[in-house]
Amino acid sequence: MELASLAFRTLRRHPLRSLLTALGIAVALTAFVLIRTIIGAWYSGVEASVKDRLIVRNAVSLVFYLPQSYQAQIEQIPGVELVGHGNWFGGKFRDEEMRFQQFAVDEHYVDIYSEYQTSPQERESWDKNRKGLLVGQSIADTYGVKPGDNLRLTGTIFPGDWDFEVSGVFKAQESGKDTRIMYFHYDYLNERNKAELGRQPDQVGFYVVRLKAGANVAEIAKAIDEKFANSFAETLTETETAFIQGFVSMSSGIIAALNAVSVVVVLIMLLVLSNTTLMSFRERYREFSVLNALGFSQRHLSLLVVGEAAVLSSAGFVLLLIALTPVFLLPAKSYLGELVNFFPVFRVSMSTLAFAVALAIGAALIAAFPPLLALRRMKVTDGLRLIH
Amino acid sequence: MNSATDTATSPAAHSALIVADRISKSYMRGTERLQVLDALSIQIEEGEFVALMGPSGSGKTTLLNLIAGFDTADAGSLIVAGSNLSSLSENELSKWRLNHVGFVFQFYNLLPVLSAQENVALPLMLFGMSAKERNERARFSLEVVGLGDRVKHLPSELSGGQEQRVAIARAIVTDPKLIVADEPTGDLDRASAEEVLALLKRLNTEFKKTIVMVTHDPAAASHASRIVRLDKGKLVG
Ligand SMILES: Nc1ncnc2c1ncn2[C@@H]1O[C@H](COP(=O)(O)OP(=O)(O)OP(=O)(O)O)[C@@H](O)[C@H]1O
Ligand SMILES: [Mg+2]
Repeated sequence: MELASLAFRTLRRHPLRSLLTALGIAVALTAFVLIRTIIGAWYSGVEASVKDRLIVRNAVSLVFYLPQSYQAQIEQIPGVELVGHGNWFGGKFRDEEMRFQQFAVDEHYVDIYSEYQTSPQERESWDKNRKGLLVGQSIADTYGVKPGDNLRLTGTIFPGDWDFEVSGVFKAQESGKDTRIMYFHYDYLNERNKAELGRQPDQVGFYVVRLKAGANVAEIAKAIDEKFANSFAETLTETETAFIQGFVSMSSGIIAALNAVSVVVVLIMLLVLSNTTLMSFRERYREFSVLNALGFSQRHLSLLVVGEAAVLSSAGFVLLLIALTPVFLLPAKSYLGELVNFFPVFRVSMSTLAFAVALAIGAALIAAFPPLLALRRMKVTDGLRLIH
Repeated sequence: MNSATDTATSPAAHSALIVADRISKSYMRGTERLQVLDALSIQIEEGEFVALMGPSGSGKTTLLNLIAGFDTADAGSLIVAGSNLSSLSENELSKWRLNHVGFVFQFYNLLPVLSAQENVALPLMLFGMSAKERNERARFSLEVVGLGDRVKHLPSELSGGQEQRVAIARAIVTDPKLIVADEPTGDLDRASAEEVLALLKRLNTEFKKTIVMVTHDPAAASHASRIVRLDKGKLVG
């Protein structure tokens, strides 16, 4: 409608100011969206976790081991269906560190993580091969690894070169899930530990426990911990969700800071927009009263004020979308670089975008508020009386 | 109210365009009340060209603002073009102004971002007219004031006299019966002032506009058909 074109005209009078305001809004919105997305990526592990899967670890700390003999004992607890175990390997691949997770596991472990799917043939070939390796789809894609390939990891916790043969590639059932994971046989690790490294044998990092349907999660967790109470390796049993949340909350300080930054960023956006709308209104007080004198009603003028703020914040939103195009179009690695290891699932969610739209609209309305109040108090004669 | 019956006792009431009956207006200055218009009564017939004169501070602008519906009186009744202005709401008053009054002030009050034609067409936006029709009417108005060749110019590209004529074109574009002008030549040189006055005169005679013009300048007042003098909020002479 015509009022909109009038709003446009007015904004064009101070092109630099309008542009800077729109840019300010765009920067704030972009920062907000990216921070939200980072936090979302951070928590994606929590979301993907299964609440009725238990993780049993050493009560003292994750870096202490548990005896392998616990496996059979946990299996006896009523409500427990299957128990697997895993050891964090933490090796380097092609001299690069921490590109993906590597676990030495037993077959139960792979069964329990049924959300990762391997073809029956590949699974069978892994079961049979002592040096067999199962790799996640993302690793296979990134490094061009395929079944039959030989692959060498350099141990950091377990020194030496570790040679494997890729038996199969697994996919995640849901597309959002991280598959930057490798599994190999615990027996391989355990044997070399005994033979070459002189480490204490038969120690596992943690157990994963699959419960029977309808089992009482809390009670079983308690039963497990009670079973090993007062032993030399006491356990701490948590749901997988709680376990991962523990990891995430280790960095909760960072998350809290990021959350605070995202709020500050939104406030800055509000200030920038309010400043422009109020400044623009003050400068044109006289113009508004002339329009009022001509017969434009308070309602028309209010629309004009809100329209100006809306044009600015929409322009900001369009700039946001332009800024985000690489995130939409390119693979995460190309703009995150090394950081991609920390945020395997980096995707701007629709809800975050919807939130940004709501923010842009909200900011326009809030920024229009002070001039609207001034407008209510305006009298035609005030403006006509002012002298340039 | 009974003010309507009061004015009906006046013989000219049926045809007068403006009927002010004992209107008062005061302003608060600090804690002090300043009585600007004091029970002032006046009638202006349709087709008149009235010059409002008087010393500075006598209340000329205040009266003109009341007549134009820019402000409302504290007391008394003011009927303009058939409407009792004090009974209208803020929005009704806006609409009434749109339909019945055009104004021209000492400072031309054009929107700097709009061309002459767009400035003139501005009030027509509120009539829901097509852009084409608005532009045609605006162009016609500009031709009436002798600026048919300046339609695309911005106010900053026009002289003071030309800006004032654009303001006049804007005042007549909605074809109102009444035009109010507050010192329309106050900021102009003699020649430009003469052009503007001749134009107002022509609007009065040729287009039958009723004009109420505040002026300090006797030469300007001489174009009017009647001179009304104001002193300390009352009519004199
Ligand atoms: N909004 C206002 N608030 C307070 N006082 C006002 C206001 N408007 C006008 N006045 C006062 O009312 C008196 C009359 O003002 P008005 O503008 O009507 O005078 P005027 O006759 O037009 O004078 P001039 O010839 O100088 O324009 C002046 O003393 C002025 O200071
Ligand atoms: Mg005055």
